[in-house]
Formats: sequence, C-alpha cells, structure tokens
Amino acid sequence: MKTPFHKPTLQLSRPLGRVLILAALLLMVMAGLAEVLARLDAVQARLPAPSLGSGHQNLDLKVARLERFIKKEGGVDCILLGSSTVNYGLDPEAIRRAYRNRTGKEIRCFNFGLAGLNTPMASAMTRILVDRFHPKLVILGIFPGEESFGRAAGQHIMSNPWVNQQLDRRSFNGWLLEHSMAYRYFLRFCIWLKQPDFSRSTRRLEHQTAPDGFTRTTKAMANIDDPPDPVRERELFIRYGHFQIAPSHLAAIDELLGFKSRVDLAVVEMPIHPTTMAFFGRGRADYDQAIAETRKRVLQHGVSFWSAAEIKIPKEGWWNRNHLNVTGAQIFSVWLEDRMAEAVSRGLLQEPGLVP
Amino acid sequence: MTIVSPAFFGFCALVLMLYYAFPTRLQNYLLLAASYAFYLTFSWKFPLLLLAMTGVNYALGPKLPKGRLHRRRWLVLGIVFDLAVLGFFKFAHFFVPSLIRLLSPLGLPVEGLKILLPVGLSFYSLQAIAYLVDVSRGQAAPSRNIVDFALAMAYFPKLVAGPIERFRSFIPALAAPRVVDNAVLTRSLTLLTVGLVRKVVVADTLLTAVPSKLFTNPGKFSSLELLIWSAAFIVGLYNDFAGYTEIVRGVSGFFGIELSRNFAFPLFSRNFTEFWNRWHITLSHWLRDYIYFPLSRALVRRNPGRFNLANLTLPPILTMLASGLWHGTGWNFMIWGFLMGLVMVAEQIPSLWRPVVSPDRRPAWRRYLATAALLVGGLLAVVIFKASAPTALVFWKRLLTWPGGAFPDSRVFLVMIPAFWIDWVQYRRKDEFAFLSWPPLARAALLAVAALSVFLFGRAQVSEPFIYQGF
Amino acid sequence: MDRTDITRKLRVFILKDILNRPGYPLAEDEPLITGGLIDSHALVRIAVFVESEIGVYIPDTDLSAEKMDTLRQIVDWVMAKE
Repeated sequence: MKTPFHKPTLQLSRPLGRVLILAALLLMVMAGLAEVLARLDAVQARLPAPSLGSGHQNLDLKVARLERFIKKEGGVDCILLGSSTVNYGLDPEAIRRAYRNRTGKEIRCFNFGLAGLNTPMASAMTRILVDRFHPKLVILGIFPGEESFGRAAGQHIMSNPWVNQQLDRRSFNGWLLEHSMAYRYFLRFCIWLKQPDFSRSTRRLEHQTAPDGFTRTTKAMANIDDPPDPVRERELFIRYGHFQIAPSHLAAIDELLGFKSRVDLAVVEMPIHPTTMAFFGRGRADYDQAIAETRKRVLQHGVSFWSAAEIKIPKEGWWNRNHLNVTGAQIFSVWLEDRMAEAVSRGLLQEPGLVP
Repeated sequence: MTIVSPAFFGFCALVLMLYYAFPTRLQNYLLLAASYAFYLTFSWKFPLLLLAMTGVNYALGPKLPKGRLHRRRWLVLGIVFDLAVLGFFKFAHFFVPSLIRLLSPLGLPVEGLKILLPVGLSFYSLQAIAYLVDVSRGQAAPSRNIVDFALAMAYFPKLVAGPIERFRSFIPALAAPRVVDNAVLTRSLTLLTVGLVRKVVVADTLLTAVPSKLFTNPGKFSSLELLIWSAAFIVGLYNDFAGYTEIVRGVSGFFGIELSRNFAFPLFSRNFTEFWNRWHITLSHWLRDYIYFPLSRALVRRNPGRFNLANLTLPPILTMLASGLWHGTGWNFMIWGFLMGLVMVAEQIPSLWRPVVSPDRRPAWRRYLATAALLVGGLLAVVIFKASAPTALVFWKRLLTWPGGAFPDSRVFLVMIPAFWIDWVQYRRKDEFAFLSWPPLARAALLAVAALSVFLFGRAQVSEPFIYQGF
Repeated sequence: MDRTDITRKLRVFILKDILNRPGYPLAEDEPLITGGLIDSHALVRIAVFVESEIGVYIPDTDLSAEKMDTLRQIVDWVMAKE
C-alpha cells in the first residue's frame, strides 16, 4: 500500500517505520527505567557520586552530596562556602552537636568547600545555592591567598553547563544535567572510562567526604612551627609572593553581600598557621591589609565578620600551613557555632535551626 | 561544517526536504547547489578550485575517445594538470618558506603566507584522473551534461573524504531515475546507525584516549604502553574512517544515490594483500587499476616468466609508494609505502614454488599465526605512518625492551567490544546488512541501544581534570 | 576456439603456473580471488595469458572479483568478447 510519501523518487509503502516506532518506544522505556533506577537511594548508595562533567575535583561531588543531603534531611539550614580551607576546616557535624547542646534544636549544615574557589566564584555559587537549595544561612570562609591562584578553578566551574544553567545561561547540556540523574551517572561512567586516574582520585575523595560534605583528613604536618623552607616550599613562595588584593575580589564581595536580602550571611576568616605569613611578599602586612579591606566591606553591608585571630589551634590540628585537619576542624567548628550563637542573640542573624 | 555534527545533519535534513519537493529533473541542480554551499562552509576559495578542476576535466572529456585528434596529448595534459594541482597544494609547505624569502624583499605581502590543502582535493583529483583515463580507454563515455559531471565531482556526502567513485558508473547513476523505497531507506538507516556508533561511540572515545605524545615522544612510555595504545589507535582509526564512510553512504542513500563500500572487515584479513582489498577499498582499487595493473601488465608482457624480479617487486612497491605519497608528503610516508610494498612482495614469494592453498583450508595454527603476523605488522606499520622516521626508530627500539612497565589502565578498550561485535556479525554472514535479517523486535532493541549510545557519547562533555594543588 | 578449449587452457595455466598444483581438481565455480588463491599479480598474468594465447584483451577494470572470481566467470567473459 502506498504512503503519502509517494513521488517519482520517493516510493515508500506500508508497513513503514514499524521497527523505528518500536525502537523509539524501547528507547523511551530504557531511558525512563535508567532514570528511575538512577534516582533510587539503594542504587545511589552503591554507585560513585554522579558527575556534572566539570573536571573539578570536588564540585560534582559536593552538588551530588548536597542533593542527597536535602533529600534525606528535608532541606538545608546552613551552607558553609569557601575554598579547600573550608572543605577541610569546617565540620558540620561538630556544629550540629554544639548547636544541639546549646539550643536543644537541630541545625542542618552542609560543607560546600570547593578546591581553589575564589571570591568571584563564591559569589556565583552563592546565587546558585540560594536559588536552588534555599538555605537560611550562608557562611563564607575566606582566605585571601585564593586570589593568587583561583583562576584555574574558576574556569572549570564557570564553563560547566550545569553551573551556567543555574545562572540563566541555558543550554541543552545544562538542561540535561539539571533534569537527568541517569545522564549524570553516565558522565561519571565516562570519567571512569576515559580518565581512570582522575576517577580513582575522585573515588578516594568520595570515601573521605562525609554525607554532610565535610572532607576529613587526619594528616598532621610535622614541624609546622618551623619557618617555611624556601626550597621545599618554593611553590607557595611563588604563589603568594606577589600577593595583591584583586579588584575582582572586592567587587565580588560586594556582589555576594548583595544576597543579604535573600539569605542570612556571615563571613569568617579561615585560620592559617602564623608561619604562613612568611609566604606573603610583605609578610603579615599583606595578609592583614587583605583581611582589613574585606572586613570593612562586609561590615559596611551590615554583615557579620568573624576574625580567626583569637583562635588557638594546636599544632596537631594542622594538615598544612593553611589547612586544618579533623582535629583542628573540630575546634574551629565549635568556635564558629559560638560566633553564630552570639550573632543570633544580638539579632544579627535569624535562628537557623529547627525545633527537633 | 564537519560531517558528524548537528549542523551537518540539519543541513542534510533541509536539502532532503527540498530534494523531494523539487521536480525530478531539477534534483541534480539542487544537489549541486547544496554541494557547493557545503564546500563554502570550509572556505570561499575551495569551491573556486573545484570549479576550475571541474571545468578543465569536463572540457577534456570529449577530446579523449578513440579516434579523436591528439587524444593522447590531451590525456597527458589532463593528468598532468590534475596531478599538478594536487602536488602544488600537497607540497606547498616545502616551497612556501622559499617563496616568502624570495618575494618579501620585493615588498610583496607574503609574510605569514600559508597554502592550505583544500579539503577533499586528494579525493576528487583522483576521481578526475580516473575519469580521463576511462574515457580514453573507451570504458566510459565522455560526459555531455555539465551539471551531472559537476555534481559527480562535488557531491557533498563524498566530497570531504570519499569514497572515491568511478565516474563511468557514478555519472550514469546520477543521470538515471532514482528510487528510494522501503528497502533503500532501511539500508540507508542501517548504514547511518552503524556509522554513528563506530564514529561517535568507538572512534572518538578511543582516539581521545590515546596519549597525545605516543607518536611524538615514545620514550616516555613503556613497551607495553606503546603496544596497547598503538592497537587502540588502529582500532580507533579504522572505526573513525569506516564510520565516516558508512554515515555518508547512509546519507547519500536517502537521496537514492548509492556510494561505494570502503571497508570490508579489514581486521579479519589473513595477510596484507587481502588487507589492502578490505581497507579503504576505493583508494586501493584506484591504485590497483591505474598504477598496479598497467605497470604490472607492461612488465609481464615483456617477460611473462613467473620468477621475474621486476615483475614481482616493481608494481607492489611503486603502487604502495604512490599510496604513501597520497597520504602525506613526509619521508615517513614514503618509508611506510616502501615497507608495505616489500611486505606484499614477501607475501608473493611462497607462491612461486609452493602449492597455493586457500587460507580457509590451511591448518588452524597457520591461520592464527598469519593473523598474529598481520596484527604485529600492522602495529609496526602504523608507527611509521604516524611518526617521523627518527621517532619511529625510537618507538620500534622501545618496543624491543619487552616486557617493559606495568600493564596500562586500558579500560577505555571496553568500547572496542561493540566495534568488534559489529564486525563479527557482519563478517560471519559476509554481509554489512546482516542485522537486517534479525527479527523486528531484536532490530528495534539494537537500534534503540545504538541511538541512546550515540546520543550519550556524543553529548557527554567531560572536562579535562583540574586538580587543585593549593597547599 | 570453443568453450571447452578455452576452459582447458585456462585451467592448465592456472593450476600449473599460478597455483603450482597440476593435479588439483579445480571446480569451475571455486572462488579464486575471494578464496585467496590468486592475487592481483596472478590476475595480470592470467590477463596476459588470455591476450597472448586466446587473443582477447581483458581491460584492467574488469580484472576484479566481481567479474573474474571463478574459472567459469573468466571463461564466460572471454566467450562474450570472442
């Protein structure tokens, strides 16, 4: 029997397209089944974290963990945002315990520390976190050194389709990443297939990272009180030696603090070991100037700024000169909770926690 | 506009819609316009060259049949013209620096002069030469329709990288009424699907996984790594080219125009002679018909003896040297061609005195040994094809430090499984459309899996890892 | 020359000069090219033999598996030109 597609060249006849239609149906079934399976807790618990394809060492993991966290906890009250100093230096579980002991309430805290994150990227991430996950409070941990070398991390993060999708720079890939968990798992499979070394290091990081986003390390730097060695630690002298406050940092701080109308904000200076000052070109002067400038901007916006100057972290609490380990993180997190409590009591922050 | 891209498929869809809306007598005009529009997306200069070559070869056609005055001179002129154009662009990087040195003192703006090899020139110049020779031999009629001839030269599915069609059959096919019925549509879709799986799932994955410095700095790798990644490269290369050919054959089928097959399960070859009849078939047959056979026949006529050295050595070596030169202009391509020619000579030697037995009837151990020898030979040959001559020596020497190093993480080879499976299914039935004999449900399932795989692998963008070392 | 003569001549030439197997029972439909028994060089020798012994020229473009894979196909082709 002829079809409507019947011309001198095109002479199609019925039955036409039976296999194609069947294939389309099977395709929908397969895709649907994959999507259902990818969203099952039992399946997600057994698989590595799905990927956004960013190539960043922990962005994909943090997003995946935060989504699971919210699914399990019903929401998130407080997000700790910053670079690797936050990733290793703030323990949400320690904050939760301290908060419960003090108030009798629960607080759902998540650590969203991203390796190499600088302030402009933090501003973009704040918008994404607020728009998508609706926390009540975002605490930004800062370490001025990020300006020297945060650029590479920024490229990975800002070129990612999922990130751009959240910032209204839409694309089909961004849409896929936003709506399909199966596609994200496929990306993780692609990493496993094509980038085995990266896959292995990502897997190691996953094992180290708790469901609340905190990445634990128990390593402690021996001889941390010794001054930095210009030969062995040459890389850090080069990175921090020409430190400058980037205009992008100050502009980003202003932009980030503009989210104050939508979410409670606080900024905390992440602790660094005193010997770190030796890396800066003008030593303490560079560091203090950066902190002072930032603090000034933050306070101008009416946002709390918590300085880490008063904290004493014992030498066994340091992984390296600017990162805490699990011991140091415990101490710092309890201190942070205390600062948070003080701000709440003074009316600078709303009570972020839930009644149990 | 690259062949495997949304833009290309969008372009094809548009041309297809117009094609079936147009009256039959105007379809070739449409295809010609579309082909030039396609070529323009590469550079505005390329279509001008194609137009010139089309004009010259079309004009020469009627001067070549038997009985025409000075036909041999016209034939020589035509071949020299086509080869000169090809040679000019292929060898440009040799003489451009000298040209710049010569002309810039005269104040001419030649600094930074670059002469790019026009996309597809290597393919359509061979087609033009074959046309001239076939007409002069009386095996093809000179074309009397400039549109059909121009379309044969420019036809966009085969313009970029073949297949190399023979105008003696291709032009009549363009002129004849074309029918796209259910069977043609099904075969075209099959080719397109298999081609996309080969290209997008297998080739792109394998070729991006092969370390970029494998053929430029082999000293960095262990012998195991060199072996494994060379094998990956060959399989990737095969699926890339075979996939491309199947895609364009599939696309062309939607217009009712059949393009020649270019690959026939080459990885199942039993010797190199057979391999070159299964790999890039249209090029191999062109070389065979226009270089090997004429040369061989002339030599055998002079001395029909079986043991004549010139008869045995010159045709294969010169033919493979020509193949090497066609592929590239570096010394490594010449060495590759020479070595391939030598191998083909060596394969003939046993048959000079030993009883010739069909490979299928040889003992199993001989068949496996032959396949192993072919694989090893192929691996060694691909090195000189990809690397410069000195680097190839380093590569081969490094291979001899066997066994060296740990087995590399080659999980990416998993994508070879579907590729080998496709080849195996087709090879068993000696039919590239073997899948069409499956029951409808099985075919539908296969099509669904293929479509999903192509979509996912084609979409998946995984950035290069960034490991922050901010400590 | 009739078909039987041509077939006999070709068979003897192929078995003796190409395959080195004078006593082999070559069937008329046994694939020679696709069966891996003869290669391009052998094809040329067959073509020159046909030219010189039978007086028929086989163009290069007809020396292919499509047209010359079996003894029967070669003979059929030669008979058609004769």
